[in-house]
Amino acid sequence: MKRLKVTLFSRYSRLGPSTRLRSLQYLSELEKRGIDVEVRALFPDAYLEALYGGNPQFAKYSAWRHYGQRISELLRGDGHDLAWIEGELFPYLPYWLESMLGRSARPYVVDYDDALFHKYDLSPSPVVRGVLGRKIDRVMEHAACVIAGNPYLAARAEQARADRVEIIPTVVDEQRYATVSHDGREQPVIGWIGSPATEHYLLDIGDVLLQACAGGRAKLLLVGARPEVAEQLAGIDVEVVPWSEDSEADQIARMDIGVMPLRDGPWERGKCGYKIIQYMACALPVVVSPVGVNADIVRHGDNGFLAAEARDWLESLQQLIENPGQRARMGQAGRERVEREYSLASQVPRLADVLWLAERC
Amino acid sequence: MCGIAGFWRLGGAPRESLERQVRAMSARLLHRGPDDGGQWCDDNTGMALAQRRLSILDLSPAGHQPMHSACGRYVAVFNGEIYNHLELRGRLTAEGKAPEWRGHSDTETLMACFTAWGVPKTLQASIGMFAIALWDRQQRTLSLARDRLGEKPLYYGWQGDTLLFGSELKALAAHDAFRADIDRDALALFLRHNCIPAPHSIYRGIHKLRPGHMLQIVGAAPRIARPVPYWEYNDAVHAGLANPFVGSDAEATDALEAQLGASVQSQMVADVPLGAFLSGGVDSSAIVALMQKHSHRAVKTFTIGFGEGGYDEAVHAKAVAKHLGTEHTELYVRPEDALSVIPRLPSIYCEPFADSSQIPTFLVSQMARQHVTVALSGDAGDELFGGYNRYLSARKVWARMQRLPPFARQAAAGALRAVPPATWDRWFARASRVLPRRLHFATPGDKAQKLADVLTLSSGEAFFHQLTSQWSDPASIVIGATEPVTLLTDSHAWPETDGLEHWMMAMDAQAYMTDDILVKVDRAAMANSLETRVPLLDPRVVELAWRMPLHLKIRHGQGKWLLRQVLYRHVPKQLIERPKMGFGIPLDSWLRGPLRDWAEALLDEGRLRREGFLRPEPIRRVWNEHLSGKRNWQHQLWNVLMFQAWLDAGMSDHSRGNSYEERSLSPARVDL
Repeated sequence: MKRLKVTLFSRYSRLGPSTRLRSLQYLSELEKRGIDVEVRALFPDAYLEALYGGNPQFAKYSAWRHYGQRISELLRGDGHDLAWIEGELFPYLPYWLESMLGRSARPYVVDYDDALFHKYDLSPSPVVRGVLGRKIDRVMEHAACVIAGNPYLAARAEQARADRVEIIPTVVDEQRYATVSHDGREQPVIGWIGSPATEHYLLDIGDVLLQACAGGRAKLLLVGARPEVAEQLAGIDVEVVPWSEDSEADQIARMDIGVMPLRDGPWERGKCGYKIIQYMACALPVVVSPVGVNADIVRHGDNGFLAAEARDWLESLQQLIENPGQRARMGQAGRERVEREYSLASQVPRLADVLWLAERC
Repeated sequence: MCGIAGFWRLGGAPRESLERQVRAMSARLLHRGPDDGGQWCDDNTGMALAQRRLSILDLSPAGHQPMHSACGRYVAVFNGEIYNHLELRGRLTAEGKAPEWRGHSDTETLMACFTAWGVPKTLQASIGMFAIALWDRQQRTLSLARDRLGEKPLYYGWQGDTLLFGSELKALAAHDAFRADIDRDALALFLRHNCIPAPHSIYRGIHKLRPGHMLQIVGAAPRIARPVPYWEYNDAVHAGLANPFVGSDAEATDALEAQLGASVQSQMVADVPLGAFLSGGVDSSAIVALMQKHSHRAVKTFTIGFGEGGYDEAVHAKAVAKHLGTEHTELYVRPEDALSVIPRLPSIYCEPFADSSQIPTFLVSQMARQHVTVALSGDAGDELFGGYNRYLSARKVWARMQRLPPFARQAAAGALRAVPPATWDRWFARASRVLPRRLHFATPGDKAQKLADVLTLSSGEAFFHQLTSQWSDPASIVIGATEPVTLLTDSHAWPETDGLEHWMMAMDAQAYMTDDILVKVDRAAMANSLETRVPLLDPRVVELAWRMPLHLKIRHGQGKWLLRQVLYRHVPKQLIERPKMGFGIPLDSWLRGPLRDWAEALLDEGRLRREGFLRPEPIRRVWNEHLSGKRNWQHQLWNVLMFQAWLDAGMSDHSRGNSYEERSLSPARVDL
């Protein structure tokens, strides 16, 4: 049987969450389906470590070196059947340069798991808006297929007149997440996973959390937030733990209720709800803001609640805190939903079809 | 005419499981085809097809489905009628490609055409209304296709490893793999349009195949097949406008009468009793007149009338019937009859559907079915020949308003909005004695608000979008929704026309007509096992209509001029001429009266909160304003109520088992 040779132009390596979840975690399964993927990351893990590890200046300078490396890879050309691009080849280069340099990366599929285009078209800089505002639309337009993580991103691709658009949600490797039985604990744990960049969403519902946890009825476990956040949540029993890929599943398994508050905005609508899927994979009931794809992932009253306003947040959390049976039931429904729709196993065949078909276009 | 259903379980499945599931699916379509049923399964590929049959042509077993082609390569289930199938048989014979015919059904003709010509060419050659699922055993390819204008329905979608398809959603819902996830974005579209436009459905992952499209799913990469058009309405628009009819008014009338007559005649072929709906309006009267012209016997015609004043068309229909000499049956329905239909609506339509004329359409179908199996209807006259009031008002209101510079319009809108509706009402009430009669509005405050909305619009297209919207910002009502782009908001998909009126007509034919009117008629009739046919939608009539210049459609401030000329050759003008009336029920007063308790229970704030789909505040505000009588929100409320009633009937929750069973009008009984 013929095998498909694909070059993946990812932005990062293993340390970049998007790269890991949107492509790297699929590779071994794709191989079983006749698709061999060669990974060409723009930025190596060392770059990300420098960026987040307190040496952003170094990272900035080394960026140009990485651009140069990608250019030489592209000029060399790998003799692949298909290129698989994460978002764009060269951030902040205009489309004409990108398409000129990327001539060997054809045909290509391009993947989006966030509203990357808003980095340009909603940029505060009028120069960026002017030069790059439509760049991603052009990238989408010329793709053999646009892979979008949710309907919001897919709609943008449709508007950009992409030939083919497929929605593939961001999924978890369901094997990595254990469903723990959460028998009626004295003090249920409300959990949140994220990063310093997203912790302000959690602080938005600080008052609600304070009321829900009042009198020690519940406590809070925050994974990946800055330790200082605890001070801003005074009055709540808060535990903050750092994030790591190896421990995240175990940390989530310690929670009883997963939350994902969001503000409603264009960026937020482009998100893929990955943390909700992680919670659900551990059989947690969830309470989330009904923004973008969140409202698709959560079936209100079935595997969790959609909470539009503070009042809804408080009612939903209180109900779950007081009701261990409901938590277990909703958690189970969530886990089943993950297995059916948001698991690696459920999406591998579709991704494989997308890649095989794109090559033929 | 029938119902079809089926699924494709990738990787195959035990025969017993395929048969059980497909039988369950087709059992839900019994009403569409009570006369016969059949199924076909292939455990190797996991393909299962089923059909319920309402026998119209070839009542013999030779018409049984699923049907296999003579060569054995194809097996298909088919819903609909191919009106030119004898002509197709002739072409096959001429090409030496005709098999030995087993019977005289159109399905058999189609199978031979597929064998001889392949799928796209067969679809392009077929004139009729249809939905079809065709399995190519050799290539392991499934083709789904739907007629050009969307007369017959076809839903499809992947649920995990299984592709489900069928004539109605209730069939898909009977499959174990079906997940009833409500699509909030589609719900937003519903609140705008009263129906859910194709390709969306109320369920995530389930689509309506768009009219004129086919979907070919190849075994090698099944999940990412996309529908492609085999015929496009915009092409007919462009071709017609580029090649306008040249001739006198009389010659144009002759041409339309000949083409429409031929179409009516071809659609009167049936081996069972046939009749027509007759409202006494232009469209249905024209169809009936041409039927009578081509028939030796008296045509059977049907009308329903409402006792309540202002909504009674039955007297006009009776006069037309008498003049044409038809065998006319009329039924006067009482409000109780109409109200008794409401609890059945969720199961009849399977998804929220809120064109309130669904109720009289159901009642007239129910009555007609007692006498005939097939009824012709006059639908599509408004879209093809310019009948809707909005085409006239566009010219009057929009053109006039464009003369005002934008800033003046903004200022006027601001002024209108600055005064609360209640104050407008008070002012008009005081001034009514000195105002001329034409300025005596029932709800002036309401009208002032609407005028203000229109004044701030930027284009004729936006004006049309506003006119055809119920809720103007539905995404703000539905929790977690983003309203998808549709034909009306996607300027790339618009046809190029010679003016706003033609543009609106082209839009209505592709949106309102296919998503609302034709859905309404198909489901209401099929729920009563009645087949409906729409002669005006013969593609040859459609193409001719688009060759007719606008002045042959809208003239002297009146729509459908040309169709009227055809009609006036058979029925005197004075029997027809009167203000256009919808096929409506007095919803506004019913919501304040007999339906009030029912509505109140469905719109309860706690309930809305618990369900988590709609924001309670705006809905409660609109409901209270309507009850106060100050503003008329009947259409907005009716679509919210239809969604709520649909939820209440358990349509969203297949795990409850008995979902599609009819339930009593809960939670509050309707009291008259």
